Amino acid sequence: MLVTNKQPNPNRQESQRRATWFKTLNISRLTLASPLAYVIAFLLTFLIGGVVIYALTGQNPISVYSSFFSYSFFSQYGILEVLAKATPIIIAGAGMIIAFRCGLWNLGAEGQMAIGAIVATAIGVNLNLPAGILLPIIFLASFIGGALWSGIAGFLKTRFGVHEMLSTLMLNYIALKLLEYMISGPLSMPHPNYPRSSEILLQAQMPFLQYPLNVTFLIALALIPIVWFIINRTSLGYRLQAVGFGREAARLAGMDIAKLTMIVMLISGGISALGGTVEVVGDFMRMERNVTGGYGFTAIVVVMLAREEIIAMPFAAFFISGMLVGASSLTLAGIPASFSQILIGLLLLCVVFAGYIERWLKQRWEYAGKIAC
Amino acid sequence: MEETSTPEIVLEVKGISKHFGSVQALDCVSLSFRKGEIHTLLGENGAGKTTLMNIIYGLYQKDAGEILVNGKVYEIRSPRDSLQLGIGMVPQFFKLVPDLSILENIYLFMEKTKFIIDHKGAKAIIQQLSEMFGFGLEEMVDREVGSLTEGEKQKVEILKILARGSKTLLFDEATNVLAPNELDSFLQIVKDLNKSGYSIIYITHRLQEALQISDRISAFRKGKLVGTISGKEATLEKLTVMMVGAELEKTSAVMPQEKGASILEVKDLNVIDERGLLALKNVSCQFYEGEIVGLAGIEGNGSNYLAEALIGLRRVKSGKVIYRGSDITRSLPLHRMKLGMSLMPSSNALVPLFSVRDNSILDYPEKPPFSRHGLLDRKAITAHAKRIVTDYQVQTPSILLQAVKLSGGNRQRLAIGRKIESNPKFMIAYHPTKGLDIKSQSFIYEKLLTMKKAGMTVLFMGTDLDELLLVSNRLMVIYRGEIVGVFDDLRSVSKFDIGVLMTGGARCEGVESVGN
Repeated sequence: MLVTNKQPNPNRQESQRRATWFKTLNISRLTLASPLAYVIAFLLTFLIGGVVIYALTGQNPISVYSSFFSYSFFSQYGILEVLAKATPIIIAGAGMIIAFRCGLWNLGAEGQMAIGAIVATAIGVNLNLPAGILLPIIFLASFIGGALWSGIAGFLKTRFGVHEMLSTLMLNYIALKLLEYMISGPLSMPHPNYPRSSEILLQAQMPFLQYPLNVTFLIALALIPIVWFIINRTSLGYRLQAVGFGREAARLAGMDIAKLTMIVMLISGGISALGGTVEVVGDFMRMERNVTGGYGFTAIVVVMLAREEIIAMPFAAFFISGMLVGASSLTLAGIPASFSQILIGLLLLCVVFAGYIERWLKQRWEYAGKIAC
Repeated sequence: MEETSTPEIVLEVKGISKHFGSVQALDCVSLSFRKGEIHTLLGENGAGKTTLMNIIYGLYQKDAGEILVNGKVYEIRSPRDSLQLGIGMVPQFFKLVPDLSILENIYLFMEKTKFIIDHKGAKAIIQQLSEMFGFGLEEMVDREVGSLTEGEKQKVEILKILARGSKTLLFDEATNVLAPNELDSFLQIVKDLNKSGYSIIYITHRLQEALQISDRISAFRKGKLVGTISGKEATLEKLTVMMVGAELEKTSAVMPQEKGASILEVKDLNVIDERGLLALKNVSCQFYEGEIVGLAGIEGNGSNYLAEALIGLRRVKSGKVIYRGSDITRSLPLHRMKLGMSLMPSSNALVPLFSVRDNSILDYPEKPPFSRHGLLDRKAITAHAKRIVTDYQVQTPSILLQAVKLSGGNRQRLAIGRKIESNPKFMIAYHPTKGLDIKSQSFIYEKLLTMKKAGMTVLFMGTDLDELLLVSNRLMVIYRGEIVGVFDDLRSVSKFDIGVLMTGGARCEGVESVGN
């Protein structure tokens, strides 16, 4: 505290000296901060995971990991399964990204998927129409159902200032209980062994490309350019990003933030709900308790991993899906399958941590650059 | 003026400088504070007085200079250091935990010598202090702070630093939060504290307060110390001169002009702030086509509320806003902008992470040709952005550069270009040149004057009188939410006249009644 004479910070000189080695590569180091941070996150995840594997089972973590991923990414059936599992995750993630880009934390994809599944089942079981009419009706109705569901959170936010993070999370549990009620009550099949709905009509069942990969996967893929277009090429996308990136500037520019919040919540929830729809019409062909499979929550991880970038999101979804699919191979090594969930959670933590590393690196490097000038 | 025996100096700053970005907030300020005096730092918002306090208290780090406490140089890195040296601050915005009691709040701040909370000891100290200075909090030390009035909370803040053992007390704009009836008792408390031996540094922009309590007064302007005078010699006139600056006789060179057709009329506008107090009181005024009307007001006197209320960002409690004959009091901002109104803010005009190109249409993304049927037309936007960058001399390597990477001057050039390109008829410019270099400032004046000639009306809100007199045809003064003066012919009005009104010095005799 009583120091008065300023001494040059030795750390600064050090970073200045080290600042030179990289110049030979002739790339700005700043552009490398982000990939580097990701590499650190992945290494850290599998390092910690490896320590746990070794501590629990005494097996070589590398061989466990290689069997873990070789099934997911290097066997034909494994790959198909990975893509199939990624389908609802991608759809839920696409809906979520629209909200995130507007600065709205819609964490309700799981519940919105449940609503989508309920609507799809209710129509798919009862409405006997040709496929060409029935399927569009199912998708449209699911969209509307999900939109209204997340619209509750939008209404609470714009009218009473309830934070959407809380309301959407809470609505998840209500929607999942509603789903359970539906399969044991109004939508229950006659004399079920366990709570489940009747099978949906044959014309509502979407064909498989090659089992287990369903045509719904193509729908998920088609959604990516559509959402990209909405975000980047429409005035709605422009405005929602303006609010997300500069709320005060958007307000001063006269944007109706409440109205925009409502619109974005409706679209986001509507798209996410389709994740539940495809599980009904492209996988289960009926509704069961685990029809949403936690994919709505997994999508949160995927969106964070992709840093809310719509183009990167499917790849993050494939990776996470691969970890989920590979879980079954873990049991062969005597490790519980749920260990892959632990790895996913760990990965998310490490990616968040990597974000800090990245910011720190950028600050440091930008600073070092200035000193050198 | 000086006493014969050299007074003991408790605190001294030498050559303190501090800048924020391109703005020099403090420029080589040297000042000494004597033991047992009430020393007032006087100046407008942004004059540098609060920055100096924050440096002494350790909230900011100085760029240059030194701080001497009792004659010894100390490096103050955080409030912990300054508190240790016996310097405590009563902040402008209270830092209290609403759910904790008065006792707990103060205890949190006291130096802990024991691990176990010594409730009885702390309570005794606090009650004793409260009684000594007539705070009247003795019986309610267990009440939750959240249920107290602003005046009582302030007393808790004072008790905090007294209990911590501070001998030099800094008050930062302490009367801002007080209701008018709490003012006198507060000033009495400050005097009592002073009598019991505490040295007081009192920051304010209000001349009357300075005159009432000060032993000495130091005035700041634009980051510089103007001078120090003793409280006995200080008069309203002298202080205004110090605060507003030299060339007091200076008046405007702008000739009054024939009033055009009426464009906007404000009738008895009342607006409530976040605390539920009146931020604007019965504001009435009228604007005509093709004029620039200055609104002189020190920050915190309601001009920001007027700006937001006029553009529709803030709800009006009562009163009317009439634009070209139609009542727009309840219209949405977007509707008002479509009618030709526009708000040019001092900051936050751009989305920081958007590119220059994307920022160029922020007020009108829906408008053709920038979008049709909800789809953006990138070509049209790019052409528009390029035109603004050229016409308004926005220096940027690319229109794809993120706005956050532009300098302040270039940001405001981009913003004003965007506003003017939408061809507004009535522009509210709220401190549009704040923090800009002279070149960018005069660029903005130039553009506004050009637009005025083309028939646009500008309501130019600002604090800097040189600037206001340079561009305005007419001028209004706002003080504590009221319009306290309207000048139609600025050639006969001096900076002094306006400065007195701005600082609440006096209500000008013979001020035109508002709104005719």
